[in-house]
Amino acid sequence: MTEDDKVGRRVREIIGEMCPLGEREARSTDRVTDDLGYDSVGIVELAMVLEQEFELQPIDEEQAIDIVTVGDVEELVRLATAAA
Amino acid sequence: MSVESLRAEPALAGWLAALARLFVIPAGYRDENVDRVGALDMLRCGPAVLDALIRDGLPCSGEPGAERFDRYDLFNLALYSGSNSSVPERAIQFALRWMGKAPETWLNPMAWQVGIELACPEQHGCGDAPTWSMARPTPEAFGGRTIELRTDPAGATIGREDVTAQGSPAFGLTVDLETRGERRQLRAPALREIVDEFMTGDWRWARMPEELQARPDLVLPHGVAPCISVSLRLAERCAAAGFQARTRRGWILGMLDLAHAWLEVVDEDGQLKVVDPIFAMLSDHAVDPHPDFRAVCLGSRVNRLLPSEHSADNPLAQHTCGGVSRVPKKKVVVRSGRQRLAAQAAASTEHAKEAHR
Repeated sequence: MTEDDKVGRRVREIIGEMCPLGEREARSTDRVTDDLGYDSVGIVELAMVLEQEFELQPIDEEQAIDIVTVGDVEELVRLATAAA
Repeated sequence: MSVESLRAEPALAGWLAALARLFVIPAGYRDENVDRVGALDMLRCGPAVLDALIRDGLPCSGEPGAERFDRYDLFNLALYSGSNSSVPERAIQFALRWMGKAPETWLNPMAWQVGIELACPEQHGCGDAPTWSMARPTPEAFGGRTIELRTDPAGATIGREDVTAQGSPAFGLTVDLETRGERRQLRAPALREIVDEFMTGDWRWARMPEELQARPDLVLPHGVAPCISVSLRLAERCAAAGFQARTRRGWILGMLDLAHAWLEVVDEDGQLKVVDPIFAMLSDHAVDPHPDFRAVCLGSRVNRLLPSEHSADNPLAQHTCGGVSRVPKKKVVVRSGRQRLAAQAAASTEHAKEAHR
C-alpha cells in the first residue's frame, strides 16, 4: 500500500467515524454533505481533526469551502501532507 | 468528583465566568429546543460541568437529566467559555482564519457561488398558496458583479431588491458572483467620534434571534452587541449628527452561514463608508488576526461581505402559506467560484484550439 493509499484510507476512516448520521464506512464517492450529513460546522470540525491527525499546517478555509466528496477531502489531505 | 473540586478547575471557572456574563435570551424570544445530548455536543464540556452550569443558573426547562436549552444561550455561553474545545469557539476560529492574512486578500476580487434554500417551518407541510421572498444578493453595491442568478423552481420574479416566487413548497436561489473590496478611512471628526465611542465600549458580540436584534433597546443596555442592533443604533447617531446614513443587511461569505448587518454612511469627502464594528469585534475570536484588520472594518469595503438592498430591520427571507406569514427555514451554502472559473478557462482553451484547427 502506498503512502497515498494509507492517507486516503485513514481520511475515510475518520470521516466515517465522525459521520453525523452515525458511524459508518465512508467511500471516496460519498458526498460529505448530501450523503453523510455533514453541515458546515461539521466540516470545520472534520478539518480541525484532520489537521491534528496528519500534523498539517492550518487548512485554508477557501479550500475547505469547496469540499463536495470524501475524495475531495482525501485529495486535500494528500496535497497538504506532500507540501509539509 | 465533588462540586467543590470541579469548581476549582480552571476549565469550570471559565464556564462559570461566561455564565455570569451571559445575556439570557428573554422570554418571548427563546426557544428551548436543544436537548441534553445536543447541549453536550455543542459545549463539549462533559456532563459534570453541564450539571454545575445548570446548578449555577444556566436557563433550561424539563426534568433533571432531560433538560432542554435555548440554542443561542448555549452558543453565547460556549463562545466566551475560554474552553477552546466547544463547537462555537472552534467553528468561529476556523471560519475567521482569513482575518489573519495580508490586507490585500480582504480587498482583491473573489469569485463565489452562493446557494440559498428556503423551506417552510411547518411540521405538517407547507400550507395553501405559498409565497416566497428572498433578498437579492447585490455585490454591485460594493463594486462587485452578479454573473448568473438561477432560481429553483425557475421562473421566479427577479426584482431589484427581492427575488419572489409563489406556488412551490420550497424555494432556492443560486448566484455566481464576484465581490471586491476597497480601502477607505473615516474622515469627519464627528463621525470618527461616534464610531470611536462605540468601539471603546465594553461590548460583547452575541448571537440571538433577528426579531430580538431588531429591538436595540432590549439588547444594548446589557452590553451585548449583535449586528442588527448595533447598526440601527449607529445609524440613528449618525443621522442625528447630520450624516446621511443607512443600515444594510447581507451575508458574510465563508464556511459558516452568517447573515450580517452593518452601517453605511456618507463621509465629509462624499464617499460612502462601511462601518462594521461587529466584524472588528469578531476578530477578537480569531487566532492571530492581522493588526490592520480592525481599522479596515471602520470605513472600508471587504470582499467577504455580500450586500443586499435590505436595511438591517428588514428580514432577508419571508414566507407565507395558508394565509399566515412565517419565518422560513434557511440554508446557505457558499462555495468559492474557483471551480466555475477553472471550467470556464478550460472551455475557453478548448474553444481556442478548435478555432485554431
